[in-house]
Amino acid sequence: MAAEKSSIKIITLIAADGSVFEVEPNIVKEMKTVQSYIDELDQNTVSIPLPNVFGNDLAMIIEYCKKHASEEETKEAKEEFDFEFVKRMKSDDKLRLLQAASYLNMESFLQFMAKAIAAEIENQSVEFVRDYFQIESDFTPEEEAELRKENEWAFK
Amino acid sequence: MSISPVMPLSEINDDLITEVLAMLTVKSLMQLKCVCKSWYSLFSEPFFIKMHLKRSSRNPYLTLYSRYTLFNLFPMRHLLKTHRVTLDNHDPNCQLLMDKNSHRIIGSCNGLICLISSQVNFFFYLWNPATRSLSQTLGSFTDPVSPPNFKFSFGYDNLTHRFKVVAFRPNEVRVFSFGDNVWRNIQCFPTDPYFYSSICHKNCVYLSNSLVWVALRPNDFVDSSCYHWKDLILNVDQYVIVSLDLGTETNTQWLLPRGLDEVSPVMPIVSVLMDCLCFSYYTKGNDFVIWQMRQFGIEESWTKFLNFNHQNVHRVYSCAWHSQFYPLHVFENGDTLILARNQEQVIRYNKRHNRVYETRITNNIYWYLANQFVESLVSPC
Repeated sequence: MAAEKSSIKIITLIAADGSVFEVEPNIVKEMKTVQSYIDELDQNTVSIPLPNVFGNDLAMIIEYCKKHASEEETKEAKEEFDFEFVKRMKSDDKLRLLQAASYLNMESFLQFMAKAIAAEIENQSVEFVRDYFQIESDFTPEEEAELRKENEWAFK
Repeated sequence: MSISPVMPLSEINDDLITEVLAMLTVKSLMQLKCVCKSWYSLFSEPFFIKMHLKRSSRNPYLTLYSRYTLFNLFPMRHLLKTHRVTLDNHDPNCQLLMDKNSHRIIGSCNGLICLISSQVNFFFYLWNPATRSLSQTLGSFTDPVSPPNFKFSFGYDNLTHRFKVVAFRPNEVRVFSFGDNVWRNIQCFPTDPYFYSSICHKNCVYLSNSLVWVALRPNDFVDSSCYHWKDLILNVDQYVIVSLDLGTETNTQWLLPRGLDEVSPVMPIVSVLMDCLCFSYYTKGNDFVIWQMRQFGIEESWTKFLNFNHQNVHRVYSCAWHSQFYPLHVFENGDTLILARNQEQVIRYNKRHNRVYETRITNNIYWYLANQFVESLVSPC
């Protein structure tokens, strides 16, 4: 069984929009959802449909995994990559990638995206955050005013 | 394996939002209480408070005290990047410690600071400086001995989920448990913890559900009434580490690293670096040495963590002989150590390059009071 698994050379991932990605097994190690597919199959070539992840997002996740799986890259280079990776993303991208990380069951990538989103909403106004997550307030204006008054210092 | 149908990606589930929120600062969360009712209640859910505390401990603060601002929460990571920091008195994080004359800090744990007031009676408060909330006064008792000779330490017991104050003096140890609000006498220490500083929280550390102190076994040849460290100790066998498990309320004594073979010219101290108990001291050759107990409570796991020559530091600063270093924090990569030196300053030591960097923080910070702090939503009430 172990010998068969190690013989898998290429994993094919098929995104929601049908785009196809061919990656080496070490790239998908962190994707536990994908890993459980691989563990169930004993073929040499594995093709895995990922109907909850779009091609664009999957491309970015693979790029991230490749960088972090690389043994040649220094810690500093990886940190620099992480910084640029987040910097070029819009809010929507971050939220979609967070969901993709959750679907693919990628613990550290999920934490990384959660941290990136947290950095974006840290110190932002209540209105900004409601808008960000598309949340409607269910407080009455009076209740909200009261709450703001209670924690007035936090708004300074 | 079945394949789930294609889902629209617009609806983000609550668990994922919770993951994000647990990474925010307390100040942000205090604002975001107003977002909606479910967030308001989430922020006081025990599971969320615990989750937030765990994330928050990766982003520690220093509690700083200065002549002008009195109290300030200062992000540890700022010490990595900046060489010069000025504390802003108008910063909302600057808070006046209430009635500074009658309160002292015993210690901090899980985001709460324990304060003691000792005018006629002793009594205690719990204070969360991040949420700016303060408990009522608790645990009042009178020490009939004059001057009072009780010493105090503070920690959290994961077993009973209670914050506890330990009060001790020779032949007496008592524990106060917040919530139950009762004092109980427990087993005495075989060797009393030595308080090398009048600042309670500098003498004791909390980790692995235990309070840990350095203690000195009495030596027949010295007068035990003397106060100076160097007069009390003649050989290294007198050093011992005393640990009190807050769950079982029983104490243990540990031996020091085997490699330790000379008496330090200044009092050795315990600290917590990278979640490990550390013991630091000087050699006569001016090396500042830190040992790390890799596995809590296992004497065989003492490992030398750091050894740097005091002369290196000496060259940078014209400082007094044998200044005391208080290790405050090691950054994640393990290379950069933050140390407070005596009363005057904080330094950054790079292990890999064996270099010392100075960080200037103005506003007359009392560095010997500086301590690690993790902010949390834990309620002091």
